[in-house]
Amino acid sequence: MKKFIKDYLKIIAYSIIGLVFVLASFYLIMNYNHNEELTKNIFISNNESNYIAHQELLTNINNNLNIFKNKKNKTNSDKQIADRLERCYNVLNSDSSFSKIELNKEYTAYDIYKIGADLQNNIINECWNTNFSFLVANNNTNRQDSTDKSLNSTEIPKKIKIVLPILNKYVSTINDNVTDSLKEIQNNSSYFYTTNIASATIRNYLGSDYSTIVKSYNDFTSIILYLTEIINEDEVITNG
Amino acid sequence: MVKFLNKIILFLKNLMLPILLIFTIYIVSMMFQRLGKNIFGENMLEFIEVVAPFILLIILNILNLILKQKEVKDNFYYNITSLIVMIAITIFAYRACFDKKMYFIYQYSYGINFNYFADQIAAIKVMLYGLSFGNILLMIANYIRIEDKNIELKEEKNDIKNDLDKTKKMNKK
Repeated sequence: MKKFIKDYLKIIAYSIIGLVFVLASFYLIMNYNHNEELTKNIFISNNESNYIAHQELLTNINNNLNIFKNKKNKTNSDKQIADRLERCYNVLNSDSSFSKIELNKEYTAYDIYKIGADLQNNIINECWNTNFSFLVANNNTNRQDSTDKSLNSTEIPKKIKIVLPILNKYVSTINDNVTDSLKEIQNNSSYFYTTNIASATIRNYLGSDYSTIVKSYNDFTSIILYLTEIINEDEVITNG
Repeated sequence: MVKFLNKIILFLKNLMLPILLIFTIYIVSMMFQRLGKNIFGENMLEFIEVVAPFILLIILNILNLILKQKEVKDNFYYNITSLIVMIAITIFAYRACFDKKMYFIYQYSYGINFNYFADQIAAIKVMLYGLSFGNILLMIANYIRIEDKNIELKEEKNDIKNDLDKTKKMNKK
C-alpha cells in the first residue's frame, strides 16, 4: 500500500513539474517571439509623398512669414502674432522625429509611437498650447491670461480673433486622434503575437496609426500656414 | 557529470530565487505607489498574494537543504525546471524594466512597464506554486521511502532472528 501511494505521489509530482516545465518554456518562447515581432520593420509605401507634402507646407509658411516681414505699417499685435507663428515654424522645422526618420521607408512600431508622441508633446504643446491656446480663453472672457501679458484680447487682430476658436477645436481634434493612435500602438506592450493573423492585425493597425499621425502632422502644419496667410491678408485689409 | 551539472543548477536556482523576490518586491511596490495603494495598510493582503509563492519556495528550499531531501536535491528534472522558471521570471522582470520597445514604459513615469509585468504575475504564481506543490509531494514520497526502508530493515532483522532461533534449535536437537 505504501509503495502504491509513494509511486502515485511521484507520478503526480512529476506531472505537476512537467506542466510547470511546459508553461515556463512556453513563456520563454513567447517572450522571444514578442521581442522579435517588436523589432520587425513595417513597410510604409506613401511615406515619401507625406514628407514632401509636409516640406511644402513648411516652405509656404516660411514664404508667408518673409512676406509679412517685408510689409510696412505693421501693427504691434500683428508682429506679436507673427513672432508666435515663427516660433511654431521653428518647432515644426526643428529636428523632430518626423523629419529625422523621413528617409527610412521601414519603421519599427516604436518609431511610429515616437513621431506621434513627438507631435503631441513637442509640437502641439510647444507651438499651439503655449502660443495660441490661451488667446482663445482671452477672447472668450475678455481678460488677459496671467502667464502671458504681451497680448490682450483687444489687441488680437480681428481676423485671427474670429478663426481662433474654430482652429483651437480643430487642433484639439487632431490631438485626440493622435492620442487614440498612440493608445492603439500601446497595445503591443501586453499583446503576444500568438498567431500570424494577430501579428498581421497589429501591423495593419500600426500602418493606419502611422497614416493618422502623419495626417495630423500635415493638418497641424496647415493650420499654421492658414494663420500666416491670415496675418498677411489682415495687413492688406487694414492697409486698404 | 550529471551530478556536477545538477549541483551548478541547484546553486543557480537557490541564488536566483531571493534576487528575483527582491526584484519583484521592487516592481510591485512601485506599482502600488503609482496606484496610491498602501503596502503595509489595507492592500497588504494583495501584496502578500504576489510575494507568497516566492517565500514558500524559499522556505521549501531551506527545508530541502536542512533535511537533506535527496529526492528533491538530487532530482535533475526538478532542478532544471526550477531554473527555467527562474530564467522566465528574470526575463519578465528585465523586460518590464528595460525593454524600451514596449511603450507603456514611457507612459508610466517610473520607467517600469507595469502593464506587462501585471500580465505576467498570474503565470509567475502558477509556476512557483506548481514547483512548491511538486516539491512537497516529492518530500512526502521521500519520507515514505525512508519508512519503507525502516520496515525492510526491521523485517530483515526479524528474519535473521528467526534464522538464528532455528539454527539454535537445530543445534540443541
